[in-house]
Amino acid sequence: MSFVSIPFALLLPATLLLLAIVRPHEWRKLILLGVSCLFYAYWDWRFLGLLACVTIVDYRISRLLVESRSPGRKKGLLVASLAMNLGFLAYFKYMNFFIESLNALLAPVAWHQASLSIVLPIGISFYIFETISYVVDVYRGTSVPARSLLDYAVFVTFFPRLVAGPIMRAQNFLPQLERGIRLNTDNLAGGSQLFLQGMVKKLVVADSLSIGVDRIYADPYLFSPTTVWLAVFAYSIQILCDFSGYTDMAMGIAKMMGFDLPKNFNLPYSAKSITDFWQRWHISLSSWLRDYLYIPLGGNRKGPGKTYANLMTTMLLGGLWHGASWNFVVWGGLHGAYLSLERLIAGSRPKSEEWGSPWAWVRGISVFIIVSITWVFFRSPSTETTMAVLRKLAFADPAGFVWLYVPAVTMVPLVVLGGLLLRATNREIPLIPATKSYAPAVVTAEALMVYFFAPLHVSPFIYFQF
Amino acid sequence: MKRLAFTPSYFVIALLWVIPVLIVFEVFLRATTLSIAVSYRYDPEWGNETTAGSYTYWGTEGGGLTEYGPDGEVATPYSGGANVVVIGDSFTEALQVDNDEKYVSLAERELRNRGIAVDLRNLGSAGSSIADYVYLAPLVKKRHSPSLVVIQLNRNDFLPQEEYDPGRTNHFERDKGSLRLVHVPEKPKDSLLGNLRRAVILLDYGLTRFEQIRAAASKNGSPAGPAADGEFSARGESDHDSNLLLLDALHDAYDGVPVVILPIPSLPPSISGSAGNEEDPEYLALQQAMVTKPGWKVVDLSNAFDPMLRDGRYPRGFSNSLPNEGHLNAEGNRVVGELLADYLEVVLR
Repeated sequence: MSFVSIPFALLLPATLLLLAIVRPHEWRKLILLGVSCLFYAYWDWRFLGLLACVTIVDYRISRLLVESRSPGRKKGLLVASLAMNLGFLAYFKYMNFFIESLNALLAPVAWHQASLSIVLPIGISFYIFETISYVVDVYRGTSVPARSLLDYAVFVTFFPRLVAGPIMRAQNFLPQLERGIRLNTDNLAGGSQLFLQGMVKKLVVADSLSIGVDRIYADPYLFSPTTVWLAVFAYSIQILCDFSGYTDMAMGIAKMMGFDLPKNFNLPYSAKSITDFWQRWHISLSSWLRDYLYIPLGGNRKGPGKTYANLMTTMLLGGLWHGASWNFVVWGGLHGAYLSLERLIAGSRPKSEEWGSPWAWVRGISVFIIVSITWVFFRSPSTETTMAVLRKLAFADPAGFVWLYVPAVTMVPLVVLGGLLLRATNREIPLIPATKSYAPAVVTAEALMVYFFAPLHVSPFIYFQF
Repeated sequence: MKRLAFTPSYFVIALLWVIPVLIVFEVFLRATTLSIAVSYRYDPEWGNETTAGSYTYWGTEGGGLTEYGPDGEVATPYSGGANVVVIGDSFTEALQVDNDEKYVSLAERELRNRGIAVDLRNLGSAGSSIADYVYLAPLVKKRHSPSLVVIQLNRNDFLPQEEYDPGRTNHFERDKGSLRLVHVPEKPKDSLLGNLRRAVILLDYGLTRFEQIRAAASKNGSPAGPAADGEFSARGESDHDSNLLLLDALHDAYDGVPVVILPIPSLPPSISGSAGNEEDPEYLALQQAMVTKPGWKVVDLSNAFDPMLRDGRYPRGFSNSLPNEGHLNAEGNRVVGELLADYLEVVLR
């Protein structure tokens, strides 16, 4: 069930109403669990079993981890949990990728294995990472296990962030659940504003841009280099507004019930380096990769060579996390290479000019251009498309239609320069407190923008496929 | 956070903040999206006609300012001379471009430049189809006494949902191998409530959007991009014999008046020449049939757009809509206008 659908428009108020009517805390948790399962089952009810399996097994393992005194047994339990979680991920998400890659590799010896008919359970990459972090944290002793299976099930299935994050740590969520669901005017007003803000980003900006981006990526060779450059920049804004729009909506829905989800984006296109970019883009994933992959691999503690290897491994796996395809691996690898190069040139703390200096702006815009070109690998449906787009970007194929798609021409500079300006002046897009009398006017403006300017065709959220 | 106080003054001040927002949206929509003609005149035979001097700004696909002349016509640069009536749908009304860029205006100007005193009367109206043209035939003859009639057609004119939909003002009913025209009089638009609705674009466009969203939701997602008035929508099934009957009905209706048929190609080939861009075979077969009709001259637009396509320019689409899709842009109108002028010159001389 998408946030931008009629069934969800009915489910959300019904849930809030039910939570308002039912007072006992445990009953409210049960309602949340039921609604989350309904939300998930709307796509494919069969995968509820998988979700239940992961939840029950990891909860049980976390309890055993606490009860166990033997380090060997604890390690065994951790390995069992990781094997199950990564096994599910490997099977559902990567099995066909492995088979196809093996087929390509062994083609000279005429080896061929038919692909399996596997449906990817929606949101699996997100909830598997959450359960892994939970078990690892309990193993490390940095987090206490959930008080009950119900609490843990509510954490894993919590519908606002079940299918596309933000990837949340149990240690951040469970205390909020324990504190209780808090339905009040402030939360409802703030949450609604966040939700509408997300709708504007998704429906007005991302979906408008997607019309142009999809057209150009469908036949890049038909268009002029200028047009393809515009599409490449437009995709950067599209994916930002699509994903951060989803996150805003998720945060808004959670806030309506009194939960705070972690921030996932912080003006990423105002970054002055690639390192800075990754501290601002999909923060919940990059911090997960840092804490559960990069640092355990040794981080930067084992010499420069190992540091670069760790950076590359982390980013390659981060790329692969997005999808079972070589284009995501290349995308991740390129970012790993940028991070390594940056570290090689500038050391562990890249020099960061003040925003008063024109160089800071040059760096900001350069990072945006590099990140945008790298998105080509992420967006292209095939190697042929990637090559066609790159040839156009290099002006190696100058012929083609000039099509300066108005939403792209207007929104790209608006979002990029707007982000840089906000960063330079150390500001954020504020949430207007409901107590301010102009709050209804802001909400009206956002609602009218969605109503009048959203394309009639709603594109699926990009990150739903991961 | 301070608790929200629902005092009367809160609501009054909140309302005072909302009003400027509504005004800003009204102005913004008028400047960028739509600004429609407010006043209509109702004629029992012709139905609703836009009054002379009224304007429409259309910005959802392209961006054109259209001025209307007398009798609901789209204004053209010249008047006086031989009366040539041009009827057609949204390609002829061409709301996407300014008056001077519409193919009818361009053909008129071109003919004047060639020394032919001619007055092209643009009766194009978005959403019109063959049933409308058949109904209009006696009225056109009576009001304009044209020396020539140009009828612009496109592939959608031969779709069942265009010609046989009982919800349309003019439609056909199949009757034992022949067609019967049914006319359902339009409701007058010049009511106080109607004028009020059109005066507030936030209201008028808001209701239009509601219908669009409802239709898209019921279709479980409509095709992306601008679909100005249903042109080039999904193709329905239509059989060749029924389509020939439509042509017969049109031919009979304008019997006695020289007719130039202007069939707009439905899919101009893209520069890639890739598969899927070929013209619909049924539409091609119908164009062959048009040529055989006595008294009809058919403008051949099949290769007219090739030079501009080879130059990397496209005849359809705008910077706010998909390229090479939808209605003719200024360049496409120019090509059609020049070619139409060539044909009209031959007939009128």
